[in-house]
Amino acid sequence: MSKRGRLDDVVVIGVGCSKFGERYDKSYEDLAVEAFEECLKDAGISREDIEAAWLGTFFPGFGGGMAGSSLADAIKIYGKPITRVENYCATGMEAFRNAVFAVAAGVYDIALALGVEKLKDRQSRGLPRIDWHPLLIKGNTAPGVFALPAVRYMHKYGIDRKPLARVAVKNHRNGAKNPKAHFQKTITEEDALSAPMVAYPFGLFDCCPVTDGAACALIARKEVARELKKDYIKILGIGLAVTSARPQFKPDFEYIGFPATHLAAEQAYSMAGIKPDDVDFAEVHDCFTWTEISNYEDLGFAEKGQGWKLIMEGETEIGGRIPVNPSGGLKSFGHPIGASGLRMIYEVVNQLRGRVEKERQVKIRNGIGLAHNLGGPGSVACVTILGTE
Amino acid sequence: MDIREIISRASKEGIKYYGDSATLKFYDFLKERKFMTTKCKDCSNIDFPPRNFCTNCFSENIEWIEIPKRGKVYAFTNQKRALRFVYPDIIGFVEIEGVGRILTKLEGEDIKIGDEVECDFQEVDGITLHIFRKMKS
Ligand SMILES: [Zn+2]
Repeated sequence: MSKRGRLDDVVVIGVGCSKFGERYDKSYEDLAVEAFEECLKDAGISREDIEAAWLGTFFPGFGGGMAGSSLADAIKIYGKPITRVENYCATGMEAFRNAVFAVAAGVYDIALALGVEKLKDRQSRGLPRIDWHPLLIKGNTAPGVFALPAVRYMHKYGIDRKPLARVAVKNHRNGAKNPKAHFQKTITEEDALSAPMVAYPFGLFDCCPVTDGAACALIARKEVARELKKDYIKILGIGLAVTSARPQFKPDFEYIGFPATHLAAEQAYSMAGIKPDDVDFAEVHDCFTWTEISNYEDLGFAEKGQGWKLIMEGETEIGGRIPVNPSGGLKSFGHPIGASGLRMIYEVVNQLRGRVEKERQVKIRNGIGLAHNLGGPGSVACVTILGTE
Repeated sequence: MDIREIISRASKEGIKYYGDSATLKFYDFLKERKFMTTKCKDCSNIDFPPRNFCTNCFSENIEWIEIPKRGKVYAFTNQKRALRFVYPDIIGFVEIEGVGRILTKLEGEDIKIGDEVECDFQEVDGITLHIFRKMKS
């Protein structure tokens, strides 16, 4: 990486997030506007100040999402560079990353990253297959893809479904205190364990929902933020790593975690000059409960094979050593694909500024929070580290 | 035409038109009940799915080899889905010695990691597919 590859002068000056859930009453553009208005107000700038934007949408379709025009028409910014990006479920953080680097390059003073997804109106429900290669993909689905390493992990480390259920219980408990979350109800371990199976070992409560929503962030040079007298949040490091989407054929690939996460985290930690222990809390990609356990390990919060102990010992609870997903995570807050990465940035920024509901506020020790977005069969990972001044 | 017919036709056409000639050849071999893939004559790399060149060294000096029919379950799951999918809908990785791990449909009672499975062929909608079945112990 370039010696100049640091983001010292780049900060987040505002964030916004729509209500997540079944938003049949709102269009694709409506959702984008809902998040954008909050963000604009938070940053204290006008829309004319925005010089460039990145739009994250995974499934273009009903109402927009194919190209930059969808965002231009939603928020009425014309004649500016707007790019749509897509990188599996890491799409939202990919939009953020592009906006951050554009500001870091010194080309723009203020850039917007906005992720929006309207999924509930789509026909494909339940478990659509995720690839059309007739030979490689034997009809495997998103739950199926994550179930395979989960089964392997459980076999290798001798655990049952209980730690997975505990992740669901924790994230539902956190989401129940979050007014913007898709699900705002607590569940018991028994609820999780006795729910109908989706793809063994994942029952209904081991899977994140299909959700509508939007989230965004405004990124600026630090001088601009100072002029605005904003309680800005610094961007300490960002990493993105892409590995094979078909890793099973590599003879030494164990399939018990996601190297993409580990590699992206290494990039981000190195750019930030910190260690995993320095992180106060994290928002991670819990598309399935076991994924969160693997994330603990891949992000360096636990050794490989030890992550399940963190959840069993309550270390990732809001009051624990390293709180994970105080928002409720994808499990409870919901997963509008292109919006999720930015929703994590929204949560981390507000946690660091002490602006979340009191009962969800984590303890800030070093002023460092981490967000982790994972895509595809675990083959695209993006990690962002944010910090207070 | 009902929805099942539409889906089955789409899946047939999908295989017919998907990507490259190596994939088509794979399905032609399946019709002859041969489970085949490609191996590089220069660097010995085996590709699955088969390719017209080696994905390791990009050499076009490749040959078709028969994949051993027996393997062991490395990982599996049992998906519950709608429409044309029957239950149980078991998929998994089968570890085949000297070749690698292949994502495949599985069939059998109470499948576990380490179970021995054997490749068999199935006629579905006029095309031949491979499936691995649990071997009777
Ligand atoms: Zn070769």
